[in-house]
Amino acid sequence: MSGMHTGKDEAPALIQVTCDGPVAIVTLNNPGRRNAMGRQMRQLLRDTMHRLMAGDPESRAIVLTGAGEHFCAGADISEMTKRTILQSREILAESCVVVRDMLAGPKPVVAAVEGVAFGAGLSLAVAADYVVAASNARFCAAFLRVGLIPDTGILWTLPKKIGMSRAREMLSLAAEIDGTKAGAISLANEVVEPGTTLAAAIEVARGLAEHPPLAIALLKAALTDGATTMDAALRTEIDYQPVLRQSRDHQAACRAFVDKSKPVFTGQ
Amino acid sequence: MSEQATGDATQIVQVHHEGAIAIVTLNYPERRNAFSLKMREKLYEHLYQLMHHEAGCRALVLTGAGNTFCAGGDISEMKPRKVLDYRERNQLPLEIFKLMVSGPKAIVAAVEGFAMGAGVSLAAACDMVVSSSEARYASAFVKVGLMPDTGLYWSLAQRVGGARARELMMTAREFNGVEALQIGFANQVVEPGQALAAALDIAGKYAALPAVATAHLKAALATGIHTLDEAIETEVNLQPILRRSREHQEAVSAFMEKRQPVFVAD
Repeated sequence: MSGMHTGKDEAPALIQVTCDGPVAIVTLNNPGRRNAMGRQMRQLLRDTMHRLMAGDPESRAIVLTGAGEHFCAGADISEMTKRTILQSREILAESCVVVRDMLAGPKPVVAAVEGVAFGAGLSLAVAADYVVAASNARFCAAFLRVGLIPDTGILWTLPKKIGMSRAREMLSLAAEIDGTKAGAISLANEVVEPGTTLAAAIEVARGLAEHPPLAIALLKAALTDGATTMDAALRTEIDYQPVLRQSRDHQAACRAFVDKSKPVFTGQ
Repeated sequence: MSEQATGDATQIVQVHHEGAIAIVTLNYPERRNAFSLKMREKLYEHLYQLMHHEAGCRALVLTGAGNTFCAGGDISEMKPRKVLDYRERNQLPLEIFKLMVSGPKAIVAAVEGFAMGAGVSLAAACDMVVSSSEARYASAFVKVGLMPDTGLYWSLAQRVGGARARELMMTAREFNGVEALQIGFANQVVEPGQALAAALDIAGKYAALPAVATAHLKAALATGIHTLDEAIETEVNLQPILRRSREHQEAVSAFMEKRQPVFVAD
């Protein structure tokens, strides 16, 4: 693994990026505070995710994880001082950019969740395409406990993932569930032994990285914005599929199927 | 239970208060609490009062008298009427539905026995459904030549997903409490006779959470989440206002001071 830091100065970067072949591993790195997201971490995560999605041809899949024993404890409550309404609006809009990139950006994102994923930490995990959870991981939409509505995109992402009934329960009751339960209600795609989520997530990401990049990119766009109604879903097929049929990757896949060989995808 | 009923036992909808929880009971046991016109009128009045005008009430439980929830529309009232008259009659159940789904307070269904037709609709409109394992559900509407109403057409798919909702509405088949949990219609299944106690337990948890945030969350879930952009817009619009609420400020102070918060809505 080759390390690459995005922070400045001597202080350890709040967001770290390492690479494992075609997989970029993004680590929330403030373990002393269970990786709670202050404004600085949010901005670094937003910039890092955007760069990996839009300007990093080396990586084809992204793993999001937390340093130490936890994924992310949510927003940094010590920073929840008396901001004005207009300042809060700016900050919220800022933190939603990363959600949009994770959901509709071109590369698959796999979350590796150990320990707590609370509040905005839960939102980040839910925004991933695939969630690997430790059996004893702790998920909680804690927002309501501090008098706030759930944010960072989770009003849309959680019902999409687990259905409105369970989402309403999780969001409105703000009760905690563990990794095993998360697997049972499809919040987590895979539940593994504590301490092994990162390895499992990298394996999933490597598999996703082998898919044709253009098809993955259009699929993510379609799932995020293209299927809000039945008519929109049908329209999206008609708009996207003919483009993909023209792609070199699709043609390479067809040839490889006939030749019984393994195709090499270039994203073109 | 400290009963402070707003009416006597002959009332077709009864309200009892237990601390911050209001227990709303459909009370027409001789017809399995059928959803008659009179019941609709009273249910709407009570729900409106509890949702909007009783600050002491912080969460609601909806249940039925005589060990059954609600058998659905009162078929004895289903006489030939003009289309325009029916349109008017169907309006009230929709107002009830909207109060339950997007009103400011959490509401928990405690279901024993039958929840048929509009009974299923009323349960589905609640934030959470606690079901007896032996409860019997059916979206029976098509069997009497009608399409699902009282919001079920929307709420059932929200609860159980599109494929299952299509199956249950089109076949009108019955399902019990155990299956209700398995398909996501119910949030919790309990032994027969225990639904009310379990629902009160959940309502107690709702009552302890900040009221202003709960109201905004229900409004957001009811309206603002068809697309990702709508969800983002909703949070950017609502969250900054909640950050200025007394409840949020109190929660932050309590967190920093490592004590339990005391919420006062504003």
